[in-house]
Amino acid sequence: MRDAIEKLAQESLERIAAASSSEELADIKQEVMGRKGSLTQILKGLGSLDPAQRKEMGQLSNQVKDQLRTAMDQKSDDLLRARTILPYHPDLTQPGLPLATGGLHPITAITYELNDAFKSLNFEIAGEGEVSSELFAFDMLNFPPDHPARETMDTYWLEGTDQKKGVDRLCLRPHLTGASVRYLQEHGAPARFVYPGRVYRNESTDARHERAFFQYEALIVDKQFPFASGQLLISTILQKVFGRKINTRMRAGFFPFVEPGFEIDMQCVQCGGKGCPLCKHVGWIEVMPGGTPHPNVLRAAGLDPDEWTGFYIDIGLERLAMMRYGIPDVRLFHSGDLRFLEQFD
Amino acid sequence: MLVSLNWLKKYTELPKDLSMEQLAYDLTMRTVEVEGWHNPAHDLDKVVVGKILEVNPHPNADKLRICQVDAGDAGILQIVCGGTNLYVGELIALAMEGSFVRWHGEGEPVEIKDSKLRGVESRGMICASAELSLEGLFPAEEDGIILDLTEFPGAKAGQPIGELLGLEDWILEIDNKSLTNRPDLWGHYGLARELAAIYATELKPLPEFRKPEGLEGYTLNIEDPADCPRFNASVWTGLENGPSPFELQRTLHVLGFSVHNLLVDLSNYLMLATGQPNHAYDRSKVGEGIQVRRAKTGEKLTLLDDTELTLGPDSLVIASDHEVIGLAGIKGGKEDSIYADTSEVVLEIANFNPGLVRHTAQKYDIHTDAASRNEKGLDTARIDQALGLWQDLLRTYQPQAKIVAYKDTQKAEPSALAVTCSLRRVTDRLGKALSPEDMQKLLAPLGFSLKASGDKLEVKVPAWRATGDVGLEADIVEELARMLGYENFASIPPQITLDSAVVENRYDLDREVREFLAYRAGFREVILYPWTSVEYQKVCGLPNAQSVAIASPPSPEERYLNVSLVPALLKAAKDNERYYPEFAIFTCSQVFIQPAPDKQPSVHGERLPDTPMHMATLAFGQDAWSLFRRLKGVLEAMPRALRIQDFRLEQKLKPAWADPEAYVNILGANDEILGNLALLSAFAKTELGFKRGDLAILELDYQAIQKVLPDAQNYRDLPHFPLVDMDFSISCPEDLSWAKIEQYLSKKVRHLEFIDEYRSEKIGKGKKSLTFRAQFGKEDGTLTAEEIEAKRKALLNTLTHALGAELRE
Repeated sequence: MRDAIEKLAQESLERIAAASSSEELADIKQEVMGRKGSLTQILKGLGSLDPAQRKEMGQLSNQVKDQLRTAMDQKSDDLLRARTILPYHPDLTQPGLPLATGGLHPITAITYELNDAFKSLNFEIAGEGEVSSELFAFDMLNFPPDHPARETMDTYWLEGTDQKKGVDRLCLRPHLTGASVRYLQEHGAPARFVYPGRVYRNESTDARHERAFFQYEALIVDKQFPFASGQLLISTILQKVFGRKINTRMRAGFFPFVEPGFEIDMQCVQCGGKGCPLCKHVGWIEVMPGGTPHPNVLRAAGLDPDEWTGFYIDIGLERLAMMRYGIPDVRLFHSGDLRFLEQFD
Repeated sequence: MLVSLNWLKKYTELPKDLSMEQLAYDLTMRTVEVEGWHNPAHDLDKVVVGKILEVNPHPNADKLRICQVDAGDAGILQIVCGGTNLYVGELIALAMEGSFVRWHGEGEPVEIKDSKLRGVESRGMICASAELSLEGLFPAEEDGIILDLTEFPGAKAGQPIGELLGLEDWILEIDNKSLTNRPDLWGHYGLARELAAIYATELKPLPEFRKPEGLEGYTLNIEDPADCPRFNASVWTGLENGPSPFELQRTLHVLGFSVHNLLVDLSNYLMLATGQPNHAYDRSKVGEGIQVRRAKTGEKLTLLDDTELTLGPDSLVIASDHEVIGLAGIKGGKEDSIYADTSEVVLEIANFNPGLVRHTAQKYDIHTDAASRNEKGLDTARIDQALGLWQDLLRTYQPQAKIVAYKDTQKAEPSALAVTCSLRRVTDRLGKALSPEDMQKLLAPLGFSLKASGDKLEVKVPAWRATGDVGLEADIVEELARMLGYENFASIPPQITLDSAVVENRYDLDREVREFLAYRAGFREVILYPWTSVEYQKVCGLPNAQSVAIASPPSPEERYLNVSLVPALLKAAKDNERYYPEFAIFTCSQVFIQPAPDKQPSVHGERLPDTPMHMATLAFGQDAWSLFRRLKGVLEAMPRALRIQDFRLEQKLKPAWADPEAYVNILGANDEILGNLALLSAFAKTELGFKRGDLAILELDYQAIQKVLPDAQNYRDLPHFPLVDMDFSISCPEDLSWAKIEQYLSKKVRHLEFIDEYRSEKIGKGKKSLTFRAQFGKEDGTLTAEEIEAKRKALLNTLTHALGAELRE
């Protein structure tokens, strides 16, 4: 009997080790230890043994049972560990499920990035209606009375007001700067604020020209503010948009609302200043005007230009986005074309 | 504007080792933007004088000839050429391999390569003048005529053409935009002054006008000195007009000016040198007097190019005693122009009101070099400069000429402008400590002079800068800064006072709305024009009395600014329809509404249209009702997500674009309509040609999205005992609303959730099936089976008796 039990134990352990599913294990258990199982069958012969042998065989069979149970439990755990949830082999190269398709317009996204940067410098955010008057769009910004931008061919004047003057002549604002005068009139100085928004020019459109476009303007007004401090505004914007330090330079430039005025160039992001088609081979790209608020503008804002000074910068957001993303045509921004917009998240 | 370096060097000596790159950089940083430069001689690199040794017929082409050409050091080259004026011994311009020519005088230059023409080897090209961009200097009488240099003095085989013609020069392209405020720089002398200041070199004086004794006067009649602050007329006789000497022609040609005759060329030279426009009239046509006056209504003028203008009193003209002879400061008329045989001229050097010049130039679309200078506003003093140079030029080119009459309307020299500055402020704003002596050193080369006493600086501005360009302390700061060089100012960190954190509820909320719609609701933001075509406005019942219109709109259909964002969003949906079976978009933007008649003007007297912020979302897809419910879900989630007031929805007034049934108005506290949620009506869909799906739209005035502070989202205890969910499917009358079911059942349950509804024939007409989930539970223990059953029965009882519904099997 000992031989039979040991042989069975050996065979069963081999079968357990070779089992490939929990069903198979259950079968083995049934076949060996079940009511009609082979071990049970063998043990039916216990009765015919003498007591000493019976005891010995009884102990042996219990040992074997424990041994088999342990092996089966062990195997069962192993099988579970090895088992996949899936009833098939997954193709791990399949794409993930898409997210919901929502997202912000790239211009809005850049605006928020810049707002965050300027808020971290304790700037406020301001704004005004997109309709302004000649008074705020031109007169208060030191545009001479016969400045060409005042003409119908440059600015969208509103019907019924285009032949009037000053406060009665209304337009879709041609730039943001008027909002700075409104803000200063209301809040006074010192002041640090940005006022992003959309502006309008009456012109024919092409890949580089739009009738409606977004600008980002920032202004600091303070008592002690050498113009070289304006660098802070410039680097804040460019580093935020391009994610690294961008070399810039200020050079002589003329804009009615600033004196001194600057053209601000950045080192070409494409070629790093070596010269390429993007920068027309000069290594620098003109990105924004800037400068100290013109005394007449400060006066219009109710501030004494002998006391107050500061720095303006104004940047076109489409242009930045075009450089950042390699977008070739400015008209795409207002196209509402989802094939374009879905490229940005 | 193009500028010749050779010409600049006539007025100031530049540092010997100065490279073009450095010069362009210095000018760009300190004065005006140099956009590029080129050397006209280099442009003709590898183009040499060739001498034709043989002209033979081409075996395969009647019109081509095979020439043997002596190219000097390059040897004798065989060239195939179709020129009609080829002969042995002729000196021609030979473009050799590697040179660039403009094919047939058109398009961009292309590189010449050795090649075969109809089977015969040709090692270059014999050029027509236009192919070398030299047609201005050597006009060809007809096509096929090649440039014949046989008569050109000093020409010999092998000599580079650039050298022969003396084209070695650097031509700088200056960005005109950077010159608009600097009328003093629209001539070479002005730019030379800047260079002399930058490089601390000497600026040579221009020759002064010497007025001979005993000149006759000349009748000048200036109607209004405000239109024409100064007019100088001088009459010159004994002139022999004809072609200009080649050097003068070349000087004008490299700057893009066409060459006419000596008198016209000199007049142009005068302008390019001093920046002062001028005009020479044939004395025999003008007569003995000039008027400067406003044109009479209907008065006519024929220009040099035969354009006939009908004028009016908004334009200033030059007139003889019987007719208009020119548009003041812009362009002369045909009649009085200089002729090939003109021997006596009246030279006008005058100053005109810049605004008037700009207005007239724009009105008639005549943009001349004279107009672009005059409209910038020139100083009157440079008239003397121009006259002196003219006299000097005639001394060189027409020594026999004589001035016989002279008149100047200037009574006295205008007094110099002085700007008073504070030394402390100037140094503060520069961020650099400069002494008055340092300042004087920087400013003197530009023509400024400076007197200091204590903190007070008195800066005298030269006439050529006192044209509106410099007049303030800030202008002086700028002059000092640019002469120091902006690149020499390191960034200075600003010192600021921090007194409070920035709180920006309005802008924060705008951002929260957009981010909620984009990232939580899954809508894509679009940015749309503020004007939308009338076709889309009409569907929305617009334009109406509240619409604001643009005087000169982008197109006649786009006159009206958006009163609502719906038309613009519909247009965007239409544009995307063909690419997507479904999409969801939103836009947040100002809309434009005529101010109410009783709207108070601002302190400045402005009465601007109202420009409230609106948001609008649109869902496009196949199942209209689920589109509607998607947007309703967005609307319902907004109060919690954005911490704003709850909305009230009611049918009050159907928007023009909305479905007659599937719409609700979004109401404010005073029952005013702040927005709408609706399906696009079948009618509007058809009108606009939507074919591929249905549209649901939600529009909302930002007034409806006002922050509720402090934030009111309260915690509710988690349930201590198990809750029981139970689904009910009922059939009920079609008009039983969910709101009514909620009203009756909500007190009987812990929570009630709509699952769905459907209709079928089996349920029957006038009825619908509705499924909802009720949640039961109590605070102080677990519900027993009996309690649950009692609650279920009570609910069924209400459904059956109060709401006319029955449980479906």
